[in-house]
Amino acid sequence: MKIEYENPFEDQIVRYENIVSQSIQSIAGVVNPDIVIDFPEGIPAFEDTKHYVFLCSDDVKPFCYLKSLDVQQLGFVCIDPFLVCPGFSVNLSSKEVVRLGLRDPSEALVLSFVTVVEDPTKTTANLLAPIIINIRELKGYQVILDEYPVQYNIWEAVSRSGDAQQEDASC
Amino acid sequence: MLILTRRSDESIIIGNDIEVKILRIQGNQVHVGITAPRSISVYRHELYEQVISENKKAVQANLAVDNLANLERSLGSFQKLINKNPASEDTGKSEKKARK
Repeated sequence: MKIEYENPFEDQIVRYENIVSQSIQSIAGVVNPDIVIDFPEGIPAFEDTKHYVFLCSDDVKPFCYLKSLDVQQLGFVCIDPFLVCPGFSVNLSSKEVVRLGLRDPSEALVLSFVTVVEDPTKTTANLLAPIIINIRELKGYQVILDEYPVQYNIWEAVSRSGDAQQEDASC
Repeated sequence: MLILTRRSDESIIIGNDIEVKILRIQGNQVHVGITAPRSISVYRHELYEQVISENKKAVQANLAVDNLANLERSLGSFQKLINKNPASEDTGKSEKKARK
């Protein structure tokens, strides 16, 4: 079944292609345990948990940790999807852009949740549904892109990008 | 569950501001048009389920690798790999312009 939007702004789809790869350290203003990011709709499966902070440590760079302030023990390991998937791009409909309150692509911080398993070679990132944070309003949503896999093996991807440099948009 | 019978070009109103319209029926496929306020997200159900299930797994996995040292060790192996292969990082950063 295909669901289509009857969107009067259909022709104004904003293409966020290769948004500046906002490596975690470059957004020092957001990665700060004192700065609370509001998820007005929560995160699917954790809808009631709306307040998060970023925790980062040099030991785990380029990963960072999105920790819930409402529920102890709830937190997600995140990574910049542009870092692990060179061809990654985010296409947001104008509806999403309005929901996120984005005035400019540079206001968007895009992160993917990482499913960490004990065997690091089996670690995956969720490219299907990245977190998009409006760093001006400190507001975040998980957005479903419908273009990328939900379990993207990042170990393989990173190893591959070292072997075959001519490769592009492989994910 | 409320069950309604609709034909092509007929629609259903939910609340004041959500309209679900049957656009076309083709074999076993139904094309549905949805008009909803911008604040309402509309997703295909199976996709949404996938996201919910992966979010839960992401959290459970963190807890299973429960002590932070293990987690750091696991993530630390990536750091080494990514530092060794800076190619992927360059690709992301070389294209700084977002196209509208």
